Amino acid sequence: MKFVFRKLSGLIIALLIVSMLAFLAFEVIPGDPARSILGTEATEAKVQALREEMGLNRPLPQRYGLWLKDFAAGDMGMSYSYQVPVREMIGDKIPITITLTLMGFFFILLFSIPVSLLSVRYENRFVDQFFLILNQVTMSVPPFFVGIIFTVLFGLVFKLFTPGGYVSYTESLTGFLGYLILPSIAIALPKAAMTTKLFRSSLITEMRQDYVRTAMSRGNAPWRVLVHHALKNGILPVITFLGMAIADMIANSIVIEQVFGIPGLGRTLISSISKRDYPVVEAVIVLIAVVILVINVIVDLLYRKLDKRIEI
Amino acid sequence: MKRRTMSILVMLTMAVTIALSGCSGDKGEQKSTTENKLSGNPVEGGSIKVGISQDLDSLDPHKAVAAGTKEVLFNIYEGLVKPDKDGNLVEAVARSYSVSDDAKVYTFTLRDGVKFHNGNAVTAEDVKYSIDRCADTSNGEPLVSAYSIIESVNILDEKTVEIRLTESNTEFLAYMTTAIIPKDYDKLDTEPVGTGPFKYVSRSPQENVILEKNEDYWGEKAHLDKVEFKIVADADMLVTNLKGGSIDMAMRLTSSQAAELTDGFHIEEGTMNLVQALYLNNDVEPLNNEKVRQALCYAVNPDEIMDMMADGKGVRIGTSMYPGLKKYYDEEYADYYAQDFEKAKELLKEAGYPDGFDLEITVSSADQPHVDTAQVIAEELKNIGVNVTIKPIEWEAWLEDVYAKRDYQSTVVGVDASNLSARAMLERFTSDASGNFINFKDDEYDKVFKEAIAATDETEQIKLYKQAEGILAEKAANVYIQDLANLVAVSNKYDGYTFYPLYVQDMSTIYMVE
Repeated sequence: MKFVFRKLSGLIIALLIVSMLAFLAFEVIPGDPARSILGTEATEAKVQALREEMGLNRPLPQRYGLWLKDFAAGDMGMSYSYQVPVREMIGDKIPITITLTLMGFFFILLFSIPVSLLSVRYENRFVDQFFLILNQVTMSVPPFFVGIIFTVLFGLVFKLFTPGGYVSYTESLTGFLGYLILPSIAIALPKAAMTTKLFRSSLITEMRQDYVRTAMSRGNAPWRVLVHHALKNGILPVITFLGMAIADMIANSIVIEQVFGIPGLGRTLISSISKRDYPVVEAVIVLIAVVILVINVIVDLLYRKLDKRIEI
Repeated sequence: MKRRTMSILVMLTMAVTIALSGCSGDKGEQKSTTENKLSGNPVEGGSIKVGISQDLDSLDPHKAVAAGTKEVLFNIYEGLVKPDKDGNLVEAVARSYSVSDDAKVYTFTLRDGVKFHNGNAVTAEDVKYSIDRCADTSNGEPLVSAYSIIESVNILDEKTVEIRLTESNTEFLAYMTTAIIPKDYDKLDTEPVGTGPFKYVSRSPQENVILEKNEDYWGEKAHLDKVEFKIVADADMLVTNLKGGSIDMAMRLTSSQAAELTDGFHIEEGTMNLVQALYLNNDVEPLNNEKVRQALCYAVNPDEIMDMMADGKGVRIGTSMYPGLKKYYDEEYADYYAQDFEKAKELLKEAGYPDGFDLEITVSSADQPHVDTAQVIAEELKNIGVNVTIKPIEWEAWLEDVYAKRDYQSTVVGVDASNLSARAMLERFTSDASGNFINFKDDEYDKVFKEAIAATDETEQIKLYKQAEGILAEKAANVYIQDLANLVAVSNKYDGYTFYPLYVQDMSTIYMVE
């Protein structure tokens, strides 16, 4: 109970700070949502009338308070630029970004676990050396660059997919998942490399432990010891990292959605910022913050489950 | 937990900052009239995917302001009259119209058999409702500013509508392109209903807008069954998407982008129908000095700029009128200032700046043509001792600081016309116009412009407008450069692309070829 309360209050404070910062950011940067909506043809009087209608002439604390009140009541407001409820607008986008992130997570595991196990099993042998170098290279390439390379290579040279040919999940689920494979690999690769590096060294430490020697001396095969004994303990530090990796991938999806033309949360966020569409920006930011904080809680819980010694 | 929360905050803040610095809109560009050649045999039916750079700002034709929105809505909605490819206003929902001698009463007779996309016939009631909606002042300002001179809209009989103005205006027809919508229809924002050659099917924010052929269209029906406007936010992705086949057509490409599309595409070349210039704030030192402005004009060579940024494509202009508005365009101003550094230096000396001065050019960072232009200008101005700093800013910031607050020295941008009248281009330079962002104040200009809008004889009016254009050139209100080239890539599967002298994309003329 105490745990839940502590987490919840932390979550609320973090959300308050995040949403306030976003509000402040818009106050500092130039640009006026009313003028952005009306464009160059509008007269000053028209802009002022719209500002009044949108409540932009009220002082900042009051605006923030009103937004907070509505938001707490579940009303995210109306998008300035689309004239549709924000909830409806981002509701369609959430599954896209979440799927992209989950697929990315899947690819991290798919790449990093076998590679780490192989590297540890054949430590300092050719396989290990090969993956060490490959890892170093992969780690240093940013996702958007991988994305561009993928687009040119798989899209234009091998014609395995159509660049920009995003398929909506309402249209075809397989087409949707298929299109997301390359973007999710692009965001997963650097993270997979880092995970491998961490996992490998953690496993190597475990493999030098007494319990491993005991297990070996009992005549267990090295593979069996690695998978059944060392893996469970070795994965602990990796879990923290994976939690952070998911959060990071959500941030990276903002960029990768732009590269692959995926109409997800990230693209909505960017276009809303440029249009000064506060209600949408606030909602997306708070949403991302919630997801990240929830992932943190899950990581903490997992930790406790895996290692009873850890207090949270 | 604490440390993690911190890093999340930092990350989110960074995400916002990065997005803030890296994005913008590109607005204010268009194309012009060139005849289209035929290739292959036209086939009826089929569909096309068109890449557009930004999402629509509204589906309500009376509330949409972005040029990028209007070019799409052009296919859905029509006014009593509509622009054609030669820059004339032709009857659309109206069959005919007449203008009283004092240009105060406009009478429209409706065309028979015009139906809305919902199947209902267009009535005089609908027309009155649509115009009244745009003229409504209950929210302070009318939706269409020019409609403030409407005295009343009267239904004479079920096929005839009369619009009475409080003052005579010979160019009012240009504003009658306002979309006709069904009376009391309140779902325009989400389910638009118009009378155009295409009807609305669906839209997904940041993704696409889908239209289908209107089988009941009163005029020449569209060839294609379906049109999808796909939002390709990143200009760098346009070429990749065209090559990969996820879009079949894209407008406003740079010449280097066009050069990459040699296989499977044809490039249609027109102009954007705007006046690109180094706009000068006529209120700040030293640009408030006419001689300084003229010196800048003598130092800048538009041909050089076009060569550098677009392989010489584009049309050189010398005043605030582009060639697409044929009636009002006067070629002679294009070469008003021939590059002459000596003369420029002489003028600077006379103005009291023998050693030149520092000039800041503010430019919207997402508009590559304008950024490129500013760079060439910076080099050219070095020759007369003017030291240029280029200040790239985001479009929204440009709108606020440069356009609204007029807090800048000079800027490179393209200014276009919202309709087919000379007034749309020239009114902004009258002393107290709200769009006079260059603070140009000239009594003679104000006088000539006033006479021009009051003139009821068209020949006389055109003469006066050209005279006003002459004043802008002579007083060097701005350093005029060009009407930018508009390169449109169309897949070889299609043909029939038509340029208009306004910012519209007419999809009804496009057809598939065998």
